[in-house]
Order: sequence, then C-alpha cells, then structure tokens
Amino acid sequence: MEYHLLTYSLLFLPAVVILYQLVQKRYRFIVLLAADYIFFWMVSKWLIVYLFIATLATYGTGRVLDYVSEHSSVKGKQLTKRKRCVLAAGIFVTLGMLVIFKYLKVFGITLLAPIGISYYTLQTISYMTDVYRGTVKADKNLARTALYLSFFPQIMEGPISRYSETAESLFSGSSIEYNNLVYGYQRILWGLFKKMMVADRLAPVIFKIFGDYERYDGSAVTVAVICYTFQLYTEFSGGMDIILGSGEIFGVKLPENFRQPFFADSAGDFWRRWHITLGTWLKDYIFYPISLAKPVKKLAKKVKGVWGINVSKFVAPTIALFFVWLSNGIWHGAGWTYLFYGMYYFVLIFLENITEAPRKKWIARMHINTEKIGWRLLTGVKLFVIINLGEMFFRAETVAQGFGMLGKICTDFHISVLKEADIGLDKYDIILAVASLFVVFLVDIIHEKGISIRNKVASFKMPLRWSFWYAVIFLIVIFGAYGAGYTIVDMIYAAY
Amino acid sequence: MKINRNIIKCAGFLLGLVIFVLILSYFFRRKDGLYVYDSLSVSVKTAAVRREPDNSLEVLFFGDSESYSSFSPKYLYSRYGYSSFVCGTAAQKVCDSYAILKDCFETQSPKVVVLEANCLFRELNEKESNDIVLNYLTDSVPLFANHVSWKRFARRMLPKSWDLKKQEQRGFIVRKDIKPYKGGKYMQKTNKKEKVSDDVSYYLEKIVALCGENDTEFILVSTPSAKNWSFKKHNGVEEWADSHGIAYVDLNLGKEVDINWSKDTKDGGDHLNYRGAKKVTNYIGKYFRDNFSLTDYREVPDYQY
Repeated sequence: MEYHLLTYSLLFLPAVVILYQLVQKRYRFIVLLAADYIFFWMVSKWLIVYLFIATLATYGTGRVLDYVSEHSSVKGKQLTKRKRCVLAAGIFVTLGMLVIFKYLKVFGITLLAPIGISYYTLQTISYMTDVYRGTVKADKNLARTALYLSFFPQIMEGPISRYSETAESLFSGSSIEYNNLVYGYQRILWGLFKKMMVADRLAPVIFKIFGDYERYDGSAVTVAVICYTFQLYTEFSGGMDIILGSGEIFGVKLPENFRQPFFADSAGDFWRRWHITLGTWLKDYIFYPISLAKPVKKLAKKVKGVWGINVSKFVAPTIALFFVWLSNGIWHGAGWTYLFYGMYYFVLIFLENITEAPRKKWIARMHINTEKIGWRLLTGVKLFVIINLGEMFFRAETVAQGFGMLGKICTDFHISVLKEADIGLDKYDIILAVASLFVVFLVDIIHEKGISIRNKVASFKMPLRWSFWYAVIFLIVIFGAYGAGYTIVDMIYAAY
Repeated sequence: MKINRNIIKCAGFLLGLVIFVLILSYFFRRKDGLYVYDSLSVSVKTAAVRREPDNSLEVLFFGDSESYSSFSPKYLYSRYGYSSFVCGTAAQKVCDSYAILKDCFETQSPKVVVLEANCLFRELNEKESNDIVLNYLTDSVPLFANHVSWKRFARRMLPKSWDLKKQEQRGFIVRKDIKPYKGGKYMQKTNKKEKVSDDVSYYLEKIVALCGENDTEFILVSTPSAKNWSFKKHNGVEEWADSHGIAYVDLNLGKEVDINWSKDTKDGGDHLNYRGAKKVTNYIGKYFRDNFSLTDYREVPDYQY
C-alpha cells in the first residue's frame, strides 16, 4: 500500500484514526505500533524481521551506551573509545543490513529489500549517534524506540526525523483534535492534487522519451527532462504532503522535506530546500564529523603552511563536502548514474564555495541589486538549467544515456518538430498539466511569502470554506490522471 | 458539546460530498447504460465514426493497437475501392468494441465487421493499480468511471480545429519506423490452448448477435505480431470461432502474408509498421473480394475518400 492510494487515505488511515481515538490514552501507542507493523507487513511481509532486528539493535545500542557512560570504570579518552566501539557495533548491524539489501546488486545479487530501509536505517544511525554524543538520552522504553523507527506514514519515504522531534509525540497518545484532523486531511488532499493532477499525468512523456530518446528530437528530449523534474518534485513533495498530513492528524509534527526549492538562488541553496531531512542528516552525521576529524584538520594545517589561509580554509569543508555528496549519490542506489549525480552537485557546490567571495566583489563593483526581479530571474533560469541537467542523469538508465540525451539537446534541437512529436499526451492533458503546475507554483510563491493558505481558507465563513474544499476535491476527481488511459505511478522515492 | 458539534460538521461535509458525487454522476453517466472500460476512447471513436457520411462505411475494424497498426482503410480503398474505418483503440477490450459497434449501427450499415483477435486476451476490467477503494469507485460510481468525459465536454466547447486526430486515415496510424524483431520462431505448433474467457465470450456473443440482427458478417482476424501472438492463443480463438460458426483468419501462420520481421515491424515485433500494414491490408482486401460482395467505391462518381 502506498500513500497516494485512496485505500490509504480513505480506508487504512481512517480505521487507525478511529481505533486510536476509541482506546484509552495510555494504550494508544499500542494502536499506532500495531498499525505500523500491519502497514509494514502489508508491503514487505516477512521482511519485517529486519525492522525488528534494526529496532532491537538501535534500542540495545542506546541502552549499552547509557550503561557504559554511567557504570564504566574508565574515564576520558578510554571511555570515549569504549563508547565508540559500542556505537560502531550498532551502526554495523543496521547499516550492514542496508548494504546487503541495497548494494549487493553490484555483485549481481538482487534481494527484495524491506520498505523504507534507506530511511529508517538513517534514523537508527542518528538516534545511536545522538545517544553517543549525549544530545539525546537513551530510551528505556522499547515501544517508544520502535514507534520512532516505524511510524507508518513516514516509513516508506521519510522524512528522516530525529528521535527528539517525534518519539515523544508518537508515544504520548494525545487525543485527535478536530483542527488537526481537518488540517491533516487538507494537506493530504493537496498531496493528491500534486500526484494525480501533475506527476501521474506527466508520466507517459517521461516513460516514452527516456525509454527511447534516440528516436526523438532534442526539443522533445528537453521537454521530457523538464517533465521529469516537475514529476519528481510534485510526486515527492506531494507524497510528503500526504505523509505530513497523516502525522498532523495524530498530533505528530514531522519535519518538512521541501521549502519551495525552485526559488533557490544557488545549487547549495537548492539542497537546503529539496529533500531537506536527507541534507541535514548528511550535514550532521557526515559533514561535521569529517570536517572536524583530526587527519582533516592536520591536512588543512599543512596546506595553510604551503598555500596560506585563503586556500587552507577550503580544505576541511571540501573533503567533508566530497563525502557528503558521495554518500548522497550512493544512498540513492547502487548505480553509476547516482554516483554521477552526487559528484555533479559536489563539483557545483564546490565551485560555488570557492567563487563566493570574488562573485560578491564583482556584484558590488558592478552595482547589481540582487533583489531586483531581472537578477533573480537570471539566477532562477541558471538554477533551473542546473537542476534539470542533474535530474536528466539521475533518471537516465546509464551515464552514457545521460550524455546521449545531452548530445541530442545540444546538436539536434528543432523546436518546430515538437508540434508534431508524439510525446504521449494529448492537448487536453498538456493544458491540464501546465495549469496544475501553475497552481503548484502559485501556492509555492504564496508559501515563500510566508502566508499559510490553510489558515487563510480556515478564516472564511463555512459556506465559502466548504465550497473551496469541495472544488478542490472535485477538481481531482474529474480531472485527475487515473482510470483507463492513465497509469498510477509507484512512489518514486520509495524505491530508493 | 464541542465534540458533538465537530462530529456534526464532519458528517455534514461528508453528506454534502456524497450529494455532489450523486449529482455529478448523473451528468457523467453513460446514456446507453453499457459497461465500458475506457469511456474516453469509446466516445472519441464513436464521435469519429459519426462524422463520416451516413451509410458510407462497408467494413469496420475493431481491436487493440494491433488493429490500427495493421489495417489501413486508405490503402484498402486505393487497392480495392472498399470503404472502411478502424474503430480499434489502444488496449481495447471487447466490451468497448461492443459499445462502439452498437453506436456505429446508428449511422452506418457495415457489411463486414472485423475483430482483431489480440483483444480477446485482454481482461475486461483490467486494473492498473491495487487501490481497492479507487477500483471500487471506478467500477461503481459513474463520476469516477467516466471522469475523463470532461475531454468530450471540452471538445464541444473548443473550436473544431482542436479535434484530436485528423480523419484522413480513418483510424489507422501511419508509422514508418523500423525496429526489427530479433527473436526466433514464435508460432511453435502445439495442442495447448489459451482459452477465451467467459467474460470475453459473453461480449463476443453479443457482438455476433448484433451483427446478425443487422445482416453483417463478422470475422475474427489475428494480424502478425511476433511479440503478442502464439499458437496457444491461435488454438483458443480457433476453438471459440469453430464452436460459434465464425470465420477466423490467422495471419501469423506464415502462409497468407509474408512478413519480413527485420523490416515490417516498428517496435521489435509488437506492431507492424506501414510496410507490414500494407501487406496485411492487401491480403484482407483479397479476402473480402473472394468472400463478400463489397462495393468498389472508386467506380462510384460521387464518392469522395
């Protein structure tokens, strides 16, 4: 069962909500946990065993770390060393399972992975590391740890939350508030709008042209690449809306994963707005530990001696950045395209970092007002090209296909051919896709200005408020891309 | 009190939703009351046939994509002078063939109806997703089942130049790409059968009865498709055709049409390209000439293709 299916939002979720509300507060966590495991079982059956193992390993590591800190006879470096061994053992178990399921493919062994292993594994690592660092106290309650790792709305594609963000609210068993229920379902509706009005509607274009790009003109390939970027955005962020809306119903505030990414002004800024929880996880558990590691610091010192501070100040961040993007690429899967994707952003952000000071100087010297619409439009277009190039390689079957498509765009681009090209959509679907995308970006603009549409609508009088939501519902029901002639596409990020 | 008020509000909203669904379902229902799988394709095709002059078509072709890749009405007219139309649609199910045919008889009096047999092996209620709630709604609520009819409404409101396809090819799609079939022999003789399901047989019988009522000949044809066809399917169709006294022509046996699989297919053996379609159309024209008395419209002065 996937989140965009009506079976989830109109059957499974309401059943859990009703049961949750009916039982006494102190038993509500049991309802949630049972729902988590039933959900997991429905998708991954016996592979649930691996979730149990990960949960026990995470919980056990936390408890042992706690025990070692409190009862160990050694102090200082010795204690840190001992704790580090415990942490390494815990990470070895959970990360080991991820490696086995996800990366044995490299050796020709393909295993069916448990759902969400890429997401809950990162949560196990963050919890164990936080306990090791002392920023979180080890949980003595196994059920709370289990809830944190397996919450059904987020198990399939995140967001990657921290223990301190969700564990307590999941366990507390707070009553379902009317406002939370209404706001939650409104957000789910918005997610379904993105998925059914845009993402699934664009799917045939992407499937058709990416699958046989050599037959198409560069203009059609460009359209497919742009469609894929929009599909990925509306699909993943729409999924997040459904997930966060589901959490909201239970009073669980899951972290946001998107913040209007297309309004970023640089590649670095884009990644602070796109898949935010993966970015912050990589920052906290890869970037900082590496940039502060002794060998890296030593190297930076050596460089300083030879080339001076202006060069040495980039050494530690660049080494850490390299590993962040290597991890980002590999996390998406065992494929050269993902590795290429990671390295693509490493190079871009590295260039952004080292040219930041001269760029600022140049802008000041040229008296450019970076707040002016013209400049923002220019940076917006530049970033849009960068994003699309990255997504093209990300979606391509091979890196060679990515370059092949790039070659088509650069050397065989005839806009006049586009009108006759069979891209898999009729004119009506094209108009609807464009109109729906316009709505999505209009909402993004409003959010970027810090205005909450749901609050605004909630302030309307009831007849107007209800009319608004009825209109949204019937817009999806009538114009949604489902039924004969359409394909409901599986959640893209659930596959990573 | 507040809880009760909230429950009443929720119930009121849901009740309003149900009422709207019922009202809209009335507008989105199929007026002929028939079960169809792909209501949009059916309405597009029936509208296309209705644009043809009344009683001007003597042959109607039905089926899935194999039909509009294999039978070229324009070529058939140029070689034999027969007037025909391809009513096949992508992944057509026989229930949709029946709905289109029923509508065709309102304005046309075809002498021959040809059904490309690949669609006999398509489930009538094929579901793309395992969404049981959505599947239930699309099966039972007209608004969900026929929601794509908005395109039909939109087409009525937009200028005529917005019509989806030009009628020049009468439903056939010209595709000149070549992608050779590289597999081996696909028609391995066997006694095994892939049976025509009861659901499909039910609609086939309705089609046969409808043709009978209108004095129209009905034949089943399997056009060459290395990827889709097999001897098991051949045996299944042959059994059904024999038991119902229906003529069946299988062009995959390699006797009637000489398909060159390195040149006559557009996608590695799934569908024929224009070269392959010309061969099939030529054969079927000969078959019509030998078995039915169709009009050679090339000799009719007022007839305009």
